[in-house]
Amino acid sequence: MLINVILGGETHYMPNGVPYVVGGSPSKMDTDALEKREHVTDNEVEHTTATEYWLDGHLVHRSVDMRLKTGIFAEGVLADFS
Amino acid sequence: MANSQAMPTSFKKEVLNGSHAFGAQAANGTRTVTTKDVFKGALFLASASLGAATTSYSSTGELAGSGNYTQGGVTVTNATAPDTSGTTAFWTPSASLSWTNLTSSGSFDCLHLYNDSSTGKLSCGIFTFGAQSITAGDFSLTMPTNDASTGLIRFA
Repeated sequence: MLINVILGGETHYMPNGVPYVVGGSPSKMDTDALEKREHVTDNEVEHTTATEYWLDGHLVHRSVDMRLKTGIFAEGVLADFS
Repeated sequence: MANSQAMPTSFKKEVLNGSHAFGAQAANGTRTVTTKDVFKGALFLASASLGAATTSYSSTGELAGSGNYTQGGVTVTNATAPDTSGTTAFWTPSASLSWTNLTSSGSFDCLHLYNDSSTGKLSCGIFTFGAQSITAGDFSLTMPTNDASTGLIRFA
C-alpha cells in the first residue's frame, strides 16, 4: 500500500516522547518497505492510536486517530430572593 | 505558556445573549426564525495560551498554514440538535474532525471551537489533549458520546 511520507527530514522528539520530523520533502512509499509502529494512549481525556512508519531509523509518516472522552461543562446557578 | 481546557467565560455571557445558534432558534415576538450558525475547529500549538479568557478566534498560536493545514481550521458537522437529559443540556458535533495528508508545523495539543458565523468569530470551547505531531498523515479527532455525561458542551 502506498502512503504519503516525508523523506530526507530529521527525526526529533517532543518532551512527551512523540516523534516529529523537521525538513524533508513529500513523497510516497510502499508500506512493505517500512517499519510500522503503533502506540496507544488511553486516559480520562482521550483514547489515541498513533500509527508510525519508519525508514532506516527515521520517521517518515505519522497518523493519529484520537477519540475525546469528554468535553467542557458549566453549571447554572440561580440567586435566591430574600 | 500552555493551553487549558475551558468553557470561555465570554461564551457563557454570549449564551445568555443568544449569540450562538447550535440549533435553529425558535421564532418569538421579537425575532424571526434563524438557521444554525457555522462552527469551526482549529488546532493550536502546545506553546499557545488558550483558556477561559479566550474570547475569539485568532491565528496567534495556531498551527502554521503549511503541510496541508489551512489556518482557521475545519468546519464542524452539526447535524444533531442540542438536547437534554435530566437537568443537563448538551451538544456535540455529529462527525469527527479530520485533516488528511497533514504535516503539522509543530507540537499541538488544543482544539479551539469557535462560531464562524458570528461577528468576531466568537470562541465556544477550548479542548486540550496529549501533545501530538503529524507527519504526512491523517489526524482524526472523534467526538465524545453525545449525552449528558460526556457531550462536548454541557450545561447542568
